[in-house]
Amino acid sequence: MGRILEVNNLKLYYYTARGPVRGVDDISFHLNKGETLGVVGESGCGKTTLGTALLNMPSPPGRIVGGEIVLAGSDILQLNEKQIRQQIRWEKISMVFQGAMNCLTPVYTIEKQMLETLQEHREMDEAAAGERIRKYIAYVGLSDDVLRRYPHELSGGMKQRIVIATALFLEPEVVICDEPTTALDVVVQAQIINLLKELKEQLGLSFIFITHDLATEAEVADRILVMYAGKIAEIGTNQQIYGQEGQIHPYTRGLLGATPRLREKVAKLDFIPGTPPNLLHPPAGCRFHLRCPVVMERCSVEEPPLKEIEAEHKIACWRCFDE
Amino acid sequence: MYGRYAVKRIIYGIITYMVIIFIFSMLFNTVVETTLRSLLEERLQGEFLQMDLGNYSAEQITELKAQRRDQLYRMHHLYSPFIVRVFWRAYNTITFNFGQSTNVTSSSGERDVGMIIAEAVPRTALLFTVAAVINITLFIFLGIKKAQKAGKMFDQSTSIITMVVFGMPSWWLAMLLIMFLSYVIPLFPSGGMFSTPPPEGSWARLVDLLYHMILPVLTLVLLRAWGGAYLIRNIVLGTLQEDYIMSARARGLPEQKVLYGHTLRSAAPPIATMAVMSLLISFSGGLIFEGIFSWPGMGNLFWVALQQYDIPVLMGNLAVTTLLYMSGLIFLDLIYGLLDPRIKVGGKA
Amino acid sequence: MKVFRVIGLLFLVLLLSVTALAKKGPVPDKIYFDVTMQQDIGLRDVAEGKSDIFYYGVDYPLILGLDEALLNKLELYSIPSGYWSFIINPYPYEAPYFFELEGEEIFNPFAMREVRYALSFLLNRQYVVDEIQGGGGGPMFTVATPGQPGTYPYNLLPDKMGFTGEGDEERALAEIEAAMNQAAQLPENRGKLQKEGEWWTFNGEPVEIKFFIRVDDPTGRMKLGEYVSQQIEKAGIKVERMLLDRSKFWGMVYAGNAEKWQYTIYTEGWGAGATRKWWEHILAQMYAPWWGYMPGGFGDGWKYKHEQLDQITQRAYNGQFLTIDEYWDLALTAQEIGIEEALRVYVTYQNQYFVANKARFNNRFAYGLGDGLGKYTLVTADTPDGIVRATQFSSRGNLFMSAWNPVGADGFGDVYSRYIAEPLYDAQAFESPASADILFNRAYPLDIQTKVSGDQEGNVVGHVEIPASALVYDPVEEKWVEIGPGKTAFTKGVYGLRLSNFHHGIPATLVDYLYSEAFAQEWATEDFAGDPYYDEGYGKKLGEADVTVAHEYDFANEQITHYFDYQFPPDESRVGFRGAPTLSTSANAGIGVVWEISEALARMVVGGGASGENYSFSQGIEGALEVDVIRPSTVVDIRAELIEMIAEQHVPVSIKDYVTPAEAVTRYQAAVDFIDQYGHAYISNGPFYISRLDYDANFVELTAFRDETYPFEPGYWMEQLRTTRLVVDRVGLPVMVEKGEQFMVTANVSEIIYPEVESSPATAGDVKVLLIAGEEELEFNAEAVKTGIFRAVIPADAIAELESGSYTVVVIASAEGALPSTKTESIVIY
Repeated sequence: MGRILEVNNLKLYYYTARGPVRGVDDISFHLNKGETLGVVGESGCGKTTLGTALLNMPSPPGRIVGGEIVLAGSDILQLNEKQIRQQIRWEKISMVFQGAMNCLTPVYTIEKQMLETLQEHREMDEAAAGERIRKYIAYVGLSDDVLRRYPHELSGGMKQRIVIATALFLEPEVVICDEPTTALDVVVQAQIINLLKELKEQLGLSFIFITHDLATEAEVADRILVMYAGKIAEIGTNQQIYGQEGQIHPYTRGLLGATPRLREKVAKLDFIPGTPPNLLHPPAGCRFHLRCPVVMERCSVEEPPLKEIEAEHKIACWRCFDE
Repeated sequence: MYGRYAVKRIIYGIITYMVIIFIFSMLFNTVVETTLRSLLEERLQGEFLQMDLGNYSAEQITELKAQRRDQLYRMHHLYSPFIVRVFWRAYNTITFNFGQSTNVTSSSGERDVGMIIAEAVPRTALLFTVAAVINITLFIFLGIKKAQKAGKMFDQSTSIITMVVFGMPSWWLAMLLIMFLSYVIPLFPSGGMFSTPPPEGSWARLVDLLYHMILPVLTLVLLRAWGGAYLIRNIVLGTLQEDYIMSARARGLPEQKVLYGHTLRSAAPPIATMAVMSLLISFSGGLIFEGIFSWPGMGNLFWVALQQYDIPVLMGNLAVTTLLYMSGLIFLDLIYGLLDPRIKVGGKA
Repeated sequence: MKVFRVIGLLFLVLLLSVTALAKKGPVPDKIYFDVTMQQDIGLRDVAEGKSDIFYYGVDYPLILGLDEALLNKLELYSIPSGYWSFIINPYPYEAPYFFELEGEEIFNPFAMREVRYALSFLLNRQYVVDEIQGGGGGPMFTVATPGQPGTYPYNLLPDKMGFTGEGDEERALAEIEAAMNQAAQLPENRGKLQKEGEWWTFNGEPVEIKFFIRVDDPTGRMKLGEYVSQQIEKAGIKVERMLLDRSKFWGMVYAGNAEKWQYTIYTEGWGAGATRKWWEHILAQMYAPWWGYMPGGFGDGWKYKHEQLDQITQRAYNGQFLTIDEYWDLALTAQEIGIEEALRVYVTYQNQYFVANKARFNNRFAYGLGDGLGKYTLVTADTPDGIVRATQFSSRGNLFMSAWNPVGADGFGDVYSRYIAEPLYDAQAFESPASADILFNRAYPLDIQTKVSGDQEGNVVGHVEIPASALVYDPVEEKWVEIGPGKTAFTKGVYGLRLSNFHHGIPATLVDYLYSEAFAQEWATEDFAGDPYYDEGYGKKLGEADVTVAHEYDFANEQITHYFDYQFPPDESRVGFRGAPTLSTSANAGIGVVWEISEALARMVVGGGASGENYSFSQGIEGALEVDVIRPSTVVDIRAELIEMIAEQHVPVSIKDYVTPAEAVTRYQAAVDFIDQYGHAYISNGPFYISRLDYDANFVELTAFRDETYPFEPGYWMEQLRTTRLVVDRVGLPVMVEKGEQFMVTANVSEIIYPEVESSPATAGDVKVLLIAGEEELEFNAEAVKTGIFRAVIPADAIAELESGSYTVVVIASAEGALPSTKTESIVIY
């Protein structure tokens, strides 16, 4: 198997007029080849930031201030912009964006955009490029005539598929999917998820699947990373998180509780009271402690480290360490 | 569908043009009439004061005056009834039958209004259209640069320059530049299109002309490049926030392509509008500006024709500029669809 | 060896001096004309040496605004640019001075002569000059602009009548008050006209007049109007200021109905005319009801009438007088009546300035005292390199605004064309720009004889016998005929001619004069209805001003004898001028081309041009284009016409007995060659010809015509034009003198030699001192006590019998061949 991606102590801060907002604050994890790592959390917890950080494209005014991203053995943060653009982005890591509504340039045809990206990275003549494009269009289940169209002439699902095709056709090692199905209806959602799974099998890709939808996550992820307020709360396998056995982080438990189940009827959905903390001045100690149902005194004082409590399962929670 | 829309739009444009010409004709014939009569009387008075009519009797002089007055009135068509004049003038202008001027002549003494205008347009184009082209290139380039480095030194300093120049009257800046670059440091000529005496040989003349164009074009560019840059900067900045731009960057496209390809193309409609209109308006020249640089173009022609109440020339001048302007509008209307595929041209809203 | 070198050098020097001596033509070699559309830039260009002369009269305030460094680089030529006057509506003109309008009774104080007359004293003209005009100009009281030739007799009148530049407010107010009181005493006005407080009222309403002030002259007449309104209000008369622009004045003032009371006073502004010496026709224009510019003149209501003025001015205008004394009697009486009637009150004249680059000229050039730069400016302009750059000012940037029509009345109608065209032609004679004296150029009188007498109606009848063989051109028969016996004319003039080559190398002969006389007769006469060889405008302008009766042509001696109906006792040279033969066919003075061009144009007018264009000698003719000798498309037609004339071996019908076809063809060919070389058809005999025309650049180049047949050498005209002008700078006399005492009047007189402006004490002169005692004038001679200082002693017994009071003293300085000058002071005798 082997690790295809290793992130160590990554910090990404947004330098606003009021000070640095700690979008991603000292995060470390790894991705194994051929697996899907799901990243979950509330809105604003830093998942998308993480995604852009991995491409070294923080949205201004963000800046990566520390840590390393080791991809296929080398730290991509050491490279300059040109090298990253030519060698890393889309070559080694690509991204399927959130809100495909607006991810394609409206004034170019699909074909032009795909061709442009392809020819930028590969020395290909039009015939060869066209062939590959058509291959991947077919992969995602679309017919050739979408190529002549403009983005606004296509439905959401079609656009999403194109975005996926574009993300894949350079055959990168890691594909980051940032909420790829959130804006789509359920039927299409299912189609896309199946597609992703299929492609992962066929092409041997490794995914990082970012979403706030736990149900989807359960479907696709091999391992899950739970983020809260810019920090990792918990990393574990699908079984460990969703299995409802053993110890899980109170936040994760809260998330699961808040998810409606298909077969259970509940009188009231649990929800986690309060709002995500201000990342400009994060709370002292555990960032979750203000909303935690099982908070201890220690939580408000000292920040819990990410500790492995069983194989492949790490948690950052004082309460969980005790038991 | 598109074809039908195009035809409809052009017909609509033609009708609007005709209405505008008709309104001009009415305006000129009304406003100018009383003043024209006074002006002619004044002219008559002046003429007779200069003459030495020693051998004439009183009756002969009165008769001479009446005959001269009659001649002047006939020249200015003051005998036809008002509405006839309005219609006839409008009709002639629309059919490009501009006729003869009453007073104004071309540099070579031609009276044909068409020739007078044909002589003036290239001169204005040399100055204003060239400046417009330079401006367009400049403000696109500047605007994008500013958007790229929004908020930084370059952006802020150019914005300050924009504000300073915005309040400046064009003639003041022109005079200032002439003062410094023509008198204090005699680098450039103080006006006119050619030197005195003008060089012989077409190559030398061209160089002389270019030499004389430098100062006015410089003034025009200094005045007008900033505003456009500022607008473009804002448009581009807005576009740069779009997700698809980030997506394009993420795909590893070089910044040049992202900026000039994806961003600019997306912002094409407003930019194209600015560019096309800027080019077209340049043909009407600038009244005061041309006067300062002794550049006898369309703006100056308009001013002189107005002062001398030369209706045929006024109508011709306005007809040409209105035509250019309207053509520009129609042209833009028809190509918007090409510029931005999201815009459905001709379809129902 | 050395000897040869010395001889060679001597020979060279001799050769050079000989050729230098033989050089003919004007002083400069080349003139460059271009245009600017900005006055400031034109001025600056001249100051900085980018151009030599600014060919536009700049107003004084603009000159004032220049900084000193710039002014020092400029040579200024000051001339009057125009003048201001008031026209007063005097309706109802007679007692009891009020009238009814729409049910209301309106009293017009300016219906009284005394009030109008007092207006001149009420306003301080010097103040207007200093404050409103910024100093550029001077007070004016008569039709004759002060400082111009021939004006001082006119301006002596107001001096004698006690008019001064500062005016006399006290006197004016007193006179107005007295006049109003007198009016109030009239039976019709009793009880109605009263002074309440400081305002006069009529029927209880304040007496108010309407002042039409031209608002489109904000720095000039608008301020003037406001100032005068304030002054009038000091007299207790309210003034309604109507600020209106040029669109209204004609309809309200001249063509309006005076009874409708649309205005009482209007601020008139006039442009200055040519440099002139004789002003009698201006009198008619400005004071005579028959001319039309008096109140009510063009309207359909009440018109001002003054029979005596009409009579006098008509006689002066039409030359109905037999002696110089009669002339001045008519002129000065008319002027006096004009001042007394005070319907047109003169205010001030304004100066304008032509500028040239001081460093570029070796000396000042000639200019018209009354009208500024002109032909002789260029003829006498002396620059180190022989090149003169002249920049014209025109808002269009064109150099030519009207057609270069060398025949018709509409040609060369704009000043820009004139500036360039006049140096190209030498007329038979012209008025000196320095003094308006007649200078005979190409035709000079050898003998002028005038014999006239007045008949019973006062018309002039001529008595010079005309030989029966004298020639007249008959346009109907198209040939020269003998006039036959028994004919007379006013004057016989025998003229010598200075003939030379034309610009295309052909020599001029008497035939050119024959042609022009015939052409004028042909085209000014409508032989039959629809005669194609007739132009109405040309005919009207030329025809009735034609004084010709007959000619005699002496080919052997190159002389022409002209019998014509014109006489002018005050100045024989003016008669000579009027009768001088011309070779030009133009209806405009100062313009002329060779006959082959006139002939080609005539053929084009009759038969159309080769390009299919229809032509006319007049402007604005429907379907026809005015002929033009520099418009490229027309020049092409002219050339084609000349080629056709060569092919036909055409000889004009009027000179067929004097010119062979071969000679004619030579001329046509020379003309064609000229057109081919220079691109235009203005071929003439003047000191310059156009060598380059560049329409795109608005540029014209004139080259000096250095042909050896040209009659004049470069320095000739400057010498001819030099005239002396005397100026009385200061008059010293006691403020008061007791009867029985003698007193002295001292005058500082300096002379200025045109065209310079610097004065030096007068070396010679005739200085008189006049003491005006009512109707009497006491004259005393002043002796020169030092150079430039003259003193007159007024003996005690001269003033012993006079009444105590204030008296006007006028000092007049005059000299032979110089322009005189006067200065007025006053003295109290008790």
